[in-house]
Amino acid sequence: MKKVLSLLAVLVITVTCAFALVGCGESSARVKVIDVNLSEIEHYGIAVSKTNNDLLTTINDLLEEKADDVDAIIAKYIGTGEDTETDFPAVEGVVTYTDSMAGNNNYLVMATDAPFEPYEFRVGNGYAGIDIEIGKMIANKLGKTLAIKQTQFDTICTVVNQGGADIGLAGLTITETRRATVNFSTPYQDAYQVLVVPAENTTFDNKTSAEILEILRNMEEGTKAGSQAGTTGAFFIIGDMEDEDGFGFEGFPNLEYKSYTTHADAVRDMLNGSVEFCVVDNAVAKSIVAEINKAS
Amino acid sequence: MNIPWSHLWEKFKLQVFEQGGYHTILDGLKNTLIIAIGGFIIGIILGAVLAILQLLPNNKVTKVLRGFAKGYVGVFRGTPIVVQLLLGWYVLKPILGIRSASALLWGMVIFGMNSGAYVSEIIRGGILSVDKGQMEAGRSLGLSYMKTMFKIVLPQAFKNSLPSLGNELIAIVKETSVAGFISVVDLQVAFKQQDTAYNPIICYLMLALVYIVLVLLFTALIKLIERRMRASDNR
Repeated sequence: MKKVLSLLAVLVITVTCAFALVGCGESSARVKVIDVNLSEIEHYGIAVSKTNNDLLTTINDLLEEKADDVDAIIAKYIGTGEDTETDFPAVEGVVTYTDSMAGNNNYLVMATDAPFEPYEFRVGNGYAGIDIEIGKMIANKLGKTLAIKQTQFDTICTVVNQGGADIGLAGLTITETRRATVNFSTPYQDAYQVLVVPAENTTFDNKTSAEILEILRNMEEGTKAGSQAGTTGAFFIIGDMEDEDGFGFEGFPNLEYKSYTTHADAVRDMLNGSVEFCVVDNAVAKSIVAEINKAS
Repeated sequence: MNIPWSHLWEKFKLQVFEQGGYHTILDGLKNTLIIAIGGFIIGIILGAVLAILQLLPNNKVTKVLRGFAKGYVGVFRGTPIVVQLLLGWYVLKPILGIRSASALLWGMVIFGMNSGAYVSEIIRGGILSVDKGQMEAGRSLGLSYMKTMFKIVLPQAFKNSLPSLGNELIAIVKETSVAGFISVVDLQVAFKQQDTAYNPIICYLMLALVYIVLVLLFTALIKLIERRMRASDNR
Protein backbone atom coordinates (compact mmCIF):
# COMPACT_ATOMS: atom_id res chain seq x y z
CA MET A 1 0.00 0.00 0.00
CA LYS A 2 2.77 2.46 0.99
CA LYS A 3 4.76 1.61 -2.14
CA VAL A 4 1.77 2.21 -4.37
CA LEU A 5 1.04 5.56 -2.69
CA SER A 6 4.62 6.78 -2.96
CA LEU A 7 4.83 5.71 -6.60
CA LEU A 8 1.61 7.59 -7.25
CA ALA A 9 2.99 10.68 -5.53
CA VAL A 10 6.16 10.61 -7.66
CA LEU A 11 4.08 10.26 -10.82
CA VAL A 12 1.84 13.19 -9.90
CA ILE A 13 4.82 15.42 -9.08
CA THR A 14 6.65 14.54 -12.30
CA VAL A 15 3.61 15.19 -14.46
CA THR A 16 2.91 18.51 -12.69
CA CYS A 17 6.51 19.64 -13.18
CA ALA A 18 6.40 18.67 -16.83
CA PHE A 19 3.25 20.70 -17.36
CA ALA A 20 4.61 23.66 -15.43
CA LEU A 21 7.75 23.80 -17.52
CA VAL A 22 6.10 23.27 -20.87
CA GLY A 23 2.49 24.34 -20.52
CA CYS A 24 2.55 27.99 -19.49
CA GLY A 25 4.28 30.89 -21.12
CA GLU A 26 1.89 31.61 -23.92
CA SER A 27 1.35 35.21 -22.76
CA SER A 28 3.32 38.01 -24.40
CA ALA A 29 6.81 38.33 -23.00
CA ARG A 30 7.60 41.84 -24.17
CA VAL A 31 7.93 44.92 -22.00
CA LYS A 32 8.48 48.59 -22.58
CA VAL A 33 9.77 51.66 -20.78
CA ILE A 34 7.54 54.69 -20.28
CA ASP A 35 10.37 57.19 -20.61
CA VAL A 36 8.87 60.02 -18.57
CA ASN A 37 10.69 61.47 -15.58
CA LEU A 38 8.63 60.69 -12.49
CA SER A 39 10.99 61.81 -9.78
CA GLU A 40 13.55 64.28 -8.67
CA ILE A 41 16.83 63.85 -10.45
CA GLU A 42 19.33 61.67 -8.61
CA HIS A 43 23.01 62.00 -9.19
CA TYR A 44 25.52 59.21 -9.65
CA GLY A 45 29.00 59.99 -8.36
CA ILE A 46 32.39 58.42 -7.89
CA ALA A 47 33.30 57.56 -4.30
CA VAL A 48 36.77 58.55 -3.13
CA SER A 49 38.38 58.18 0.28
CA LYS A 50 38.20 61.29 2.47
CA THR A 51 41.97 61.27 2.85
CA ASN A 52 42.66 61.25 -0.89
CA ASN A 53 41.88 64.81 -1.95
CA ASP A 54 44.43 64.83 -4.77
CA LEU A 55 42.66 61.98 -6.49
CA LEU A 56 39.32 63.72 -6.01
CA THR A 57 40.62 66.90 -7.64
CA THR A 58 42.10 64.96 -10.56
CA ILE A 59 38.81 63.14 -11.10
CA ASN A 60 36.69 66.29 -10.96
CA ASP A 61 39.00 68.07 -13.41
CA LEU A 62 38.89 65.08 -15.74
CA LEU A 63 35.08 64.85 -15.61
CA GLU A 64 34.85 68.52 -16.54
CA GLU A 65 37.46 68.32 -19.28
CA LYS A 66 36.04 65.17 -20.83
CA ALA A 67 32.33 65.86 -20.26
CA ASP A 68 31.53 65.13 -23.92
CA ASP A 69 33.31 61.79 -23.81
CA VAL A 70 31.36 60.82 -20.70
CA ASP A 71 28.08 61.70 -22.42
CA ALA A 72 29.11 59.65 -25.44
CA ILE A 73 29.83 56.64 -23.23
CA ILE A 74 26.43 56.94 -21.58
CA ALA A 75 24.64 57.27 -24.90
CA LYS A 76 26.45 54.25 -26.23
CA TYR A 77 25.26 52.03 -23.42
CA ILE A 78 21.74 53.31 -22.87
CA GLY A 79 19.97 54.22 -26.10
CA THR A 80 16.21 54.68 -25.87
CA GLY A 81 14.97 51.30 -24.66
CA GLU A 82 13.80 50.09 -28.06
CA ASP A 83 17.19 50.21 -29.67
CA THR A 84 19.34 49.75 -26.60
CA GLU A 85 22.33 47.66 -27.53
CA THR A 86 23.00 44.76 -25.21
CA ASP A 87 26.10 43.22 -26.72
CA PHE A 88 29.30 45.05 -26.02
CA PRO A 89 32.94 44.06 -26.33
CA ALA A 90 35.08 43.92 -23.23
CA VAL A 91 36.97 47.14 -22.46
CA GLU A 92 40.65 46.68 -23.26
CA GLY A 93 43.33 46.70 -20.62
CA VAL A 94 41.07 46.17 -17.63
CA VAL A 95 42.15 43.50 -15.19
CA THR A 96 40.64 41.75 -12.19
CA TYR A 97 42.08 42.73 -8.84
CA THR A 98 44.32 40.17 -7.18
CA ASP A 99 45.86 40.36 -3.72
CA SER A 100 49.32 40.89 -5.18
CA MET A 101 48.18 44.30 -6.44
CA ALA A 102 47.61 45.66 -2.94
CA GLY A 103 49.82 48.70 -2.36
CA ASN A 104 51.10 48.61 -5.94
CA ASN A 105 50.88 52.11 -7.33
CA ASN A 106 50.66 50.96 -10.94
CA TYR A 107 47.05 49.94 -10.41
CA LEU A 108 43.95 52.01 -9.89
CA VAL A 109 41.70 49.75 -7.83
CA MET A 110 37.98 50.25 -8.48
CA ALA A 111 35.37 48.73 -6.19
CA THR A 112 32.21 47.71 -8.00
CA ASP A 113 29.46 45.09 -7.95
CA ALA A 114 28.95 43.24 -11.22
CA PRO A 115 26.64 42.44 -12.89
CA PHE A 116 24.68 45.68 -12.92
CA GLU A 117 23.95 46.45 -16.54
CA PRO A 118 24.56 48.90 -18.09
CA TYR A 119 27.05 50.20 -15.52
CA GLU A 120 29.30 47.22 -14.95
CA PHE A 121 29.02 43.71 -16.28
CA ARG A 122 31.26 40.94 -17.48
CA VAL A 123 31.98 40.07 -21.06
CA GLY A 124 33.80 36.75 -21.03
CA ASN A 125 36.76 37.24 -18.74
CA GLY A 126 36.72 41.03 -19.21
CA TYR A 127 34.47 43.89 -18.24
CA ALA A 128 32.26 46.46 -19.96
CA GLY A 129 29.85 49.18 -18.93
CA ILE A 130 29.55 52.89 -18.25
CA ASP A 131 31.38 52.75 -14.92
CA ILE A 132 34.12 50.55 -16.35
CA GLU A 133 34.78 52.96 -19.21
CA ILE A 134 34.85 55.99 -16.91
CA GLY A 135 37.21 54.10 -14.60
CA LYS A 136 39.44 53.34 -17.59
CA MET A 137 39.45 57.03 -18.48
CA ILE A 138 40.63 57.96 -14.96
CA ALA A 139 43.25 55.20 -14.97
CA ASN A 140 44.59 56.37 -18.32
CA LYS A 141 44.87 59.92 -17.01
CA LEU A 142 46.90 58.67 -14.04
CA GLY A 143 48.99 56.33 -16.16
CA LYS A 144 47.81 53.29 -14.24
CA THR A 145 46.05 50.04 -15.06
CA LEU A 146 42.44 49.68 -13.99
CA ALA A 147 41.92 46.76 -11.61
CA ILE A 148 38.34 45.78 -10.77
CA LYS A 149 37.63 44.62 -7.23
CA GLN A 150 34.31 42.80 -6.96
CA THR A 151 32.65 44.12 -3.79
CA GLN A 152 29.19 43.65 -2.29
CA PHE A 153 27.28 46.85 -3.19
CA ASP A 154 26.39 47.83 0.40
CA THR A 155 30.04 47.62 1.40
CA ILE A 156 31.55 49.65 -1.43
CA CYS A 157 31.68 52.91 0.53
CA THR A 158 33.21 51.13 3.55
CA VAL A 159 35.84 49.49 1.36
CA VAL A 160 36.82 52.82 -0.25
CA ASN A 161 36.91 54.47 3.17
CA GLN A 162 39.21 51.75 4.55
CA GLY A 163 41.61 51.86 1.63
CA GLY A 164 40.63 48.54 0.08
CA ALA A 165 40.00 50.38 -3.19
CA ASP A 166 41.00 53.76 -4.64
CA ILE A 167 37.60 54.60 -6.11
CA GLY A 168 34.07 53.27 -5.94
CA LEU A 169 32.11 53.34 -9.19
CA ALA A 170 28.87 51.34 -9.19
CA GLY A 171 25.92 53.48 -10.13
CA LEU A 172 26.27 54.97 -6.64
CA THR A 173 23.70 57.63 -5.91
CA ILE A 174 25.14 60.56 -3.99
CA THR A 175 23.37 60.72 -0.62
CA GLU A 176 24.08 62.57 2.61
CA THR A 177 24.32 59.29 4.48
CA ARG A 178 27.05 58.05 2.17
CA ARG A 179 28.83 61.42 2.37
CA ALA A 180 29.56 60.60 6.01
CA THR A 181 31.87 57.80 4.89
CA VAL A 182 33.31 58.95 1.56
CA ASN A 183 33.70 62.00 -0.63
CA PHE A 184 31.94 62.07 -3.97
CA SER A 185 33.11 63.52 -7.27
CA THR A 186 30.91 65.87 -9.26
CA PRO A 187 28.02 63.83 -10.69
CA TYR A 188 28.76 62.02 -13.92
CA GLN A 189 25.18 61.07 -14.63
CA ASP A 190 21.70 62.01 -13.60
CA ALA A 191 19.07 59.39 -13.10
CA TYR A 192 15.33 59.49 -12.70
CA GLN A 193 12.60 56.96 -12.11
CA VAL A 194 10.46 55.57 -14.93
CA LEU A 195 7.71 52.98 -15.30
CA VAL A 196 8.24 49.59 -16.90
CA VAL A 197 5.03 47.97 -18.18
CA PRO A 198 4.03 45.03 -20.38
CA ALA A 199 4.28 45.96 -24.07
CA GLU A 200 0.54 45.75 -24.71
CA ASN A 201 -0.33 48.11 -21.82
CA THR A 202 -1.39 51.50 -23.22
CA THR A 203 -2.51 53.20 -20.00
CA PHE A 204 0.57 55.38 -19.77
CA ASP A 205 1.34 56.00 -23.45
CA ASN A 206 1.90 59.59 -24.52
CA LYS A 207 1.19 61.08 -21.13
CA THR A 208 3.11 63.77 -19.31
CA SER A 209 4.67 63.25 -15.94
CA ALA A 210 1.82 65.04 -14.15
CA GLU A 211 -0.79 62.96 -16.00
CA ILE A 212 0.96 59.71 -15.13
CA LEU A 213 1.15 60.67 -11.46
CA GLU A 214 -2.57 61.43 -11.57
CA ILE A 215 -3.33 58.03 -13.10
CA LEU A 216 -1.26 56.36 -10.38
CA ARG A 217 -3.09 58.22 -7.64
CA ASN A 218 -6.44 57.13 -9.04
CA MET A 219 -5.56 53.50 -9.56
CA GLU A 220 -7.74 50.87 -7.97
CA GLU A 221 -6.98 50.18 -4.33
CA GLY A 222 -4.54 47.32 -3.95
CA THR A 223 -2.98 47.55 -7.39
CA LYS A 224 0.45 45.99 -7.14
CA ALA A 225 3.65 47.80 -8.05
CA GLY A 226 7.13 46.28 -7.90
CA SER A 227 10.65 47.58 -7.39
CA GLN A 228 14.01 46.57 -5.97
CA ALA A 229 14.14 46.77 -2.17
CA GLY A 230 15.80 49.89 -0.78
CA THR A 231 15.99 51.75 -4.09
CA THR A 232 14.55 55.10 -5.04
CA GLY A 233 11.88 53.25 -6.99
CA ALA A 234 10.72 51.53 -3.83
CA PHE A 235 10.49 54.85 -1.96
CA PHE A 236 8.60 56.34 -4.89
CA ILE A 237 5.84 53.79 -4.35
CA ILE A 238 5.86 53.68 -0.56
CA GLY A 239 6.75 57.29 0.19
CA ASP A 240 9.50 58.56 2.51
CA MET A 241 8.11 61.77 4.00
CA GLU A 242 9.26 60.70 7.46
CA ASP A 243 12.93 60.78 6.38
CA GLU A 244 14.41 64.30 6.51
CA ASP A 245 17.28 63.35 4.21
CA GLY A 246 14.93 61.50 1.91
CA PHE A 247 13.51 62.23 -1.51
CA GLY A 248 10.28 63.77 -0.28
CA PHE A 249 8.06 61.21 -1.99
CA GLU A 250 4.49 61.18 -0.80
CA GLY A 251 4.01 57.66 -2.03
CA PHE A 252 0.78 56.10 -3.20
CA PRO A 253 -1.35 54.67 -0.39
CA ASN A 254 -3.66 53.03 -2.93
CA LEU A 255 -0.82 50.94 -4.37
CA GLU A 256 0.48 47.76 -2.83
CA TYR A 257 4.28 47.58 -2.93
CA LYS A 258 5.97 44.29 -3.78
CA SER A 259 9.63 44.04 -2.91
CA TYR A 260 12.27 42.29 -5.02
CA THR A 261 16.00 41.59 -4.73
CA THR A 262 16.71 43.15 -8.11
CA HIS A 263 14.80 45.30 -10.59
CA ALA A 264 15.09 42.50 -13.15
CA ASP A 265 13.27 40.13 -10.80
CA ALA A 266 10.43 42.66 -10.52
CA VAL A 267 10.12 43.03 -14.30
CA ARG A 268 10.15 39.29 -14.87
CA ASP A 269 7.54 38.77 -12.16
CA MET A 270 5.44 41.45 -13.86
CA LEU A 271 5.31 39.17 -16.90
CA ASN A 272 3.87 36.49 -14.61
CA GLY A 273 1.11 38.89 -13.65
CA SER A 274 2.26 39.42 -10.07
CA VAL A 275 2.49 43.21 -10.42
CA GLU A 276 0.89 45.75 -12.74
CA PHE A 277 4.04 47.80 -13.32
CA CYS A 278 7.55 48.42 -11.99
CA VAL A 279 9.40 51.58 -10.99
CA VAL A 280 13.05 51.52 -12.07
CA ASP A 281 15.97 53.90 -12.71
CA ASN A 282 15.79 54.98 -16.37
CA ALA A 283 19.17 53.59 -17.48
CA VAL A 284 18.73 50.24 -15.80
CA ALA A 285 15.14 50.09 -17.07
CA LYS A 286 16.20 50.48 -20.68
CA SER A 287 18.85 47.81 -20.29
CA ILE A 288 16.48 45.33 -18.66
CA VAL A 289 13.78 45.94 -21.27
CA ALA A 290 16.17 45.49 -24.17
CA GLU A 291 17.51 42.26 -22.72
CA ILE A 292 14.15 40.73 -21.83
CA ASN A 293 12.69 41.59 -25.22
CA LYS A 294 15.57 39.80 -26.85
CA ALA A 295 14.51 36.63 -25.09
CA SER A 296 10.99 36.58 -26.48
CA MET B 1 6.04 30.57 -15.68
CA ASN B 2 7.82 32.27 -18.47
CA ILE B 3 11.41 31.02 -18.56
CA PRO B 4 13.08 31.25 -21.98
CA TRP B 5 15.37 28.31 -21.35
CA SER B 6 17.01 28.08 -24.76
CA HIS B 7 17.71 31.82 -24.88
CA LEU B 8 19.27 31.77 -21.40
CA TRP B 9 21.30 28.69 -22.24
CA GLU B 10 22.60 30.34 -25.43
CA LYS B 11 23.66 33.44 -23.51
CA PHE B 12 25.30 31.33 -20.81
CA LYS B 13 27.27 29.32 -23.36
CA LEU B 14 28.31 32.52 -25.13
CA GLN B 15 29.51 34.25 -21.97
CA VAL B 16 31.15 31.32 -20.24
CA PHE B 17 32.62 29.22 -23.01
CA GLU B 18 32.97 31.24 -26.19
CA GLN B 19 33.96 34.54 -24.60
CA GLY B 20 36.13 33.00 -21.92
CA GLY B 21 34.08 33.57 -18.78
CA TYR B 22 35.20 30.16 -17.56
CA HIS B 23 38.51 31.71 -16.46
CA THR B 24 36.63 33.61 -13.76
CA ILE B 25 34.83 30.43 -12.71
CA LEU B 26 38.12 28.53 -12.46
CA ASP B 27 39.58 31.35 -10.35
CA GLY B 28 36.48 31.20 -8.18
CA LEU B 29 36.87 27.46 -7.79
CA LYS B 30 40.52 27.91 -6.83
CA ASN B 31 39.65 30.50 -4.19
CA THR B 32 36.81 28.37 -2.81
CA LEU B 33 39.11 25.36 -2.46
CA ILE B 34 41.89 27.42 -0.86
CA ILE B 35 39.51 28.81 1.75
CA ALA B 36 37.79 25.47 2.35
CA ILE B 37 40.84 23.22 2.61
CA GLY B 38 43.04 25.81 4.32
CA GLY B 39 40.24 26.62 6.74
CA PHE B 40 39.64 22.94 7.42
CA ILE B 41 43.30 22.30 8.23
CA ILE B 42 43.43 25.31 10.55
CA GLY B 43 40.18 24.11 12.06
CA ILE B 44 41.50 20.63 12.80
CA ILE B 45 44.66 21.89 14.48
CA LEU B 46 42.73 24.49 16.45
CA GLY B 47 39.95 22.03 17.25
CA ALA B 48 42.36 19.40 18.55
CA VAL B 49 44.03 21.98 20.81
CA LEU B 50 40.69 23.27 22.11
CA ALA B 51 39.40 19.74 22.72
CA ILE B 52 42.45 18.81 24.76
CA LEU B 53 42.26 22.08 26.69
CA GLN B 54 38.68 21.31 27.62
CA LEU B 55 39.58 17.81 28.83
CA LEU B 56 42.57 18.71 30.98
CA PRO B 57 42.35 17.26 34.49
CA ASN B 58 40.81 19.72 36.94
CA ASN B 59 43.16 21.95 38.87
CA LYS B 60 43.59 25.67 39.48
CA VAL B 61 46.02 26.26 36.62
CA THR B 62 44.00 24.45 34.03
CA LYS B 63 40.84 26.27 35.13
CA VAL B 64 41.84 29.33 33.08
CA LEU B 65 42.73 27.25 30.04
CA ARG B 66 39.52 25.24 30.23
CA GLY B 67 37.50 28.42 30.64
CA PHE B 68 39.19 30.01 27.64
CA ALA B 69 38.49 26.96 25.47
CA LYS B 70 34.85 26.84 26.49
CA GLY B 71 34.50 30.59 25.90
CA TYR B 72 36.09 30.39 22.47
CA VAL B 73 33.78 27.58 21.42
CA GLY B 74 30.79 29.49 22.78
CA VAL B 75 31.59 32.68 20.83
CA PHE B 76 32.46 31.06 17.53
CA ARG B 77 29.54 28.70 17.59
CA GLY B 78 27.23 31.41 18.84
CA THR B 79 27.66 33.81 15.92
CA PRO B 80 26.93 33.23 12.24
CA ILE B 81 29.96 32.89 9.97
CA VAL B 82 28.81 35.93 7.99
CA VAL B 83 28.93 38.07 11.13
CA GLN B 84 32.39 36.73 11.94
CA LEU B 85 33.61 37.58 8.44
CA LEU B 86 32.17 41.09 8.58
CA LEU B 87 33.52 41.76 12.08
CA GLY B 88 36.96 40.39 11.26
CA TRP B 89 37.36 42.28 7.99
CA TYR B 90 35.44 45.53 8.49
CA VAL B 91 35.92 46.06 12.22
CA LEU B 92 39.01 44.24 13.50
CA LYS B 93 41.27 44.97 10.53
CA PRO B 94 40.79 48.78 10.63
CA ILE B 95 41.12 48.75 14.42
CA LEU B 96 44.47 47.00 14.05
CA GLY B 97 45.38 49.69 11.55
CA ILE B 98 46.04 47.27 8.68
CA ARG B 99 45.31 49.01 5.37
CA SER B 100 46.12 46.41 2.79
CA ALA B 101 45.65 42.73 3.41
CA SER B 102 44.64 39.64 1.51
CA ALA B 103 40.92 39.05 1.84
CA LEU B 104 41.49 35.47 0.74
CA LEU B 105 43.91 34.75 3.60
CA TRP B 106 41.82 36.58 6.17
CA GLY B 107 38.77 34.68 4.99
CA MET B 108 40.63 31.40 5.26
CA VAL B 109 41.76 32.17 8.81
CA ILE B 110 38.29 33.28 9.91
CA PHE B 111 36.73 30.15 8.43
CA GLY B 112 39.44 28.14 10.21
CA MET B 113 38.69 29.82 13.53
CA ASN B 114 34.98 29.16 13.09
CA SER B 115 35.56 25.57 12.09
CA GLY B 116 37.92 25.05 15.04
CA ALA B 117 35.03 25.57 17.43
CA TYR B 118 32.88 22.92 15.77
CA VAL B 119 35.78 20.51 15.23
CA SER B 120 36.76 20.81 18.90
CA GLU B 121 33.38 19.37 19.85
CA ILE B 122 33.78 16.58 17.31
CA ILE B 123 37.23 15.66 18.55
CA ARG B 124 36.18 16.01 22.17
CA GLY B 125 33.48 13.45 21.48
CA GLY B 126 36.05 11.28 19.73
CA ILE B 127 38.42 11.47 22.69
CA LEU B 128 35.66 10.65 25.15
CA SER B 129 34.72 7.62 23.09
CA VAL B 130 38.18 6.12 23.46
CA ASP B 131 38.20 3.57 26.23
CA LYS B 132 39.35 5.09 29.53
CA GLY B 133 41.62 2.10 29.87
CA GLN B 134 43.86 3.49 27.12
CA MET B 135 44.75 6.59 29.15
CA GLU B 136 45.19 4.47 32.31
CA ALA B 137 47.41 2.02 30.47
CA GLY B 138 49.54 4.78 29.04
CA ARG B 139 49.97 6.50 32.40
CA SER B 140 50.76 3.22 34.13
CA LEU B 141 53.52 2.66 31.58
CA GLY B 142 55.14 5.86 32.81
CA LEU B 143 54.08 8.21 30.00
CA SER B 144 53.02 11.74 30.93
CA TYR B 145 49.43 12.91 30.42
CA MET B 146 50.37 14.87 27.31
CA LYS B 147 52.43 12.04 25.80
CA THR B 148 49.62 9.54 26.32
CA MET B 149 47.14 11.98 24.87
CA PHE B 150 49.10 12.68 21.72
CA LYS B 151 50.56 9.24 21.03
CA ILE B 152 47.80 6.88 22.16
CA VAL B 153 44.43 8.53 22.69
CA LEU B 154 44.37 11.20 19.98
CA PRO B 155 45.09 8.90 17.03
CA GLN B 156 42.25 6.63 18.10
CA ALA B 157 40.03 9.63 18.68
CA PHE B 158 40.70 10.82 15.13
CA LYS B 159 39.72 7.49 13.68
CA ASN B 160 36.47 7.58 15.62
CA SER B 161 35.75 11.15 14.57
CA LEU B 162 36.43 10.65 10.85
CA PRO B 163 32.81 10.49 9.69
CA SER B 164 31.97 13.69 11.59
CA LEU B 165 35.15 15.42 10.41
CA GLY B 166 34.26 14.53 6.85
CA ASN B 167 30.88 16.10 7.46
CA GLU B 168 32.60 19.27 8.70
CA LEU B 169 34.79 19.45 5.60
CA ILE B 170 31.74 19.25 3.37
CA ALA B 171 29.99 21.87 5.48
CA ILE B 172 32.94 24.26 5.12
CA VAL B 173 33.07 23.86 1.34
CA LYS B 174 29.47 25.05 1.15
CA GLU B 175 29.85 27.75 3.80
CA THR B 176 32.55 29.44 1.72
CA SER B 177 29.76 30.65 -0.55
CA VAL B 178 29.42 33.73 1.66
CA ALA B 179 33.04 34.78 1.22
CA GLY B 180 31.74 37.33 -1.28
CA PHE B 181 30.87 39.54 1.69
CA ILE B 182 34.57 40.40 2.09
CA SER B 183 35.34 40.88 -1.60
CA VAL B 184 36.64 37.38 -2.24
CA VAL B 185 35.73 36.14 -5.71
CA ASP B 186 34.62 32.63 -4.82
CA LEU B 187 32.56 30.15 -6.83
CA GLN B 188 29.23 31.83 -6.01
CA VAL B 189 30.43 35.33 -6.97
CA ALA B 190 32.07 33.99 -10.12
CA PHE B 191 28.82 32.39 -11.28
CA LYS B 192 26.76 35.44 -10.30
CA GLN B 193 28.93 37.54 -12.59
CA GLN B 194 28.20 35.27 -15.57
CA ASP B 195 24.58 36.44 -15.73
CA THR B 196 24.31 38.52 -18.89
CA ALA B 197 20.59 38.13 -19.46
CA TYR B 198 19.12 39.73 -16.34
CA ASN B 199 18.12 36.20 -15.39
CA PRO B 200 20.59 34.24 -13.28
CA ILE B 201 18.63 30.97 -13.24
CA ILE B 202 21.06 28.98 -15.41
CA CYS B 203 24.07 30.45 -13.59
CA TYR B 204 22.75 29.37 -10.21
CA LEU B 205 21.69 25.93 -11.47
CA MET B 206 25.23 25.41 -12.77
CA LEU B 207 26.61 26.67 -9.46
CA ALA B 208 24.52 24.11 -7.58
CA LEU B 209 25.76 21.39 -9.93
CA VAL B 210 29.39 22.31 -9.30
CA TYR B 211 28.87 22.24 -5.54
CA ILE B 212 27.19 18.81 -5.76
CA VAL B 213 30.10 17.43 -7.80
CA LEU B 214 32.64 18.95 -5.39
CA VAL B 215 30.88 17.43 -2.39
CA LEU B 216 30.61 14.04 -4.11
CA LEU B 217 34.36 14.10 -4.77
CA PHE B 218 35.15 15.02 -1.18
CA THR B 219 32.77 12.32 0.09
CA ALA B 220 34.53 9.69 -2.00
CA LEU B 221 37.90 10.89 -0.70
CA ILE B 222 36.71 10.73 2.91
CA LYS B 223 35.30 7.22 2.44
CA LEU B 224 38.64 6.13 1.05
CA ILE B 225 40.50 7.53 4.07
CA GLU B 226 38.04 5.91 6.46
CA ARG B 227 38.47 2.55 4.81
CA ARG B 228 42.26 2.75 4.97
CA MET B 229 42.22 3.70 8.63
CA ARG B 230 39.82 0.89 9.46
CA ALA B 231 42.06 -1.69 7.80
CA SER B 232 43.50 -2.58 11.18
CA ASP B 233 40.12 -3.19 12.79
CA ASN B 234 38.17 -6.43 12.56
CA ARG B 235 34.88 -5.03 11.34
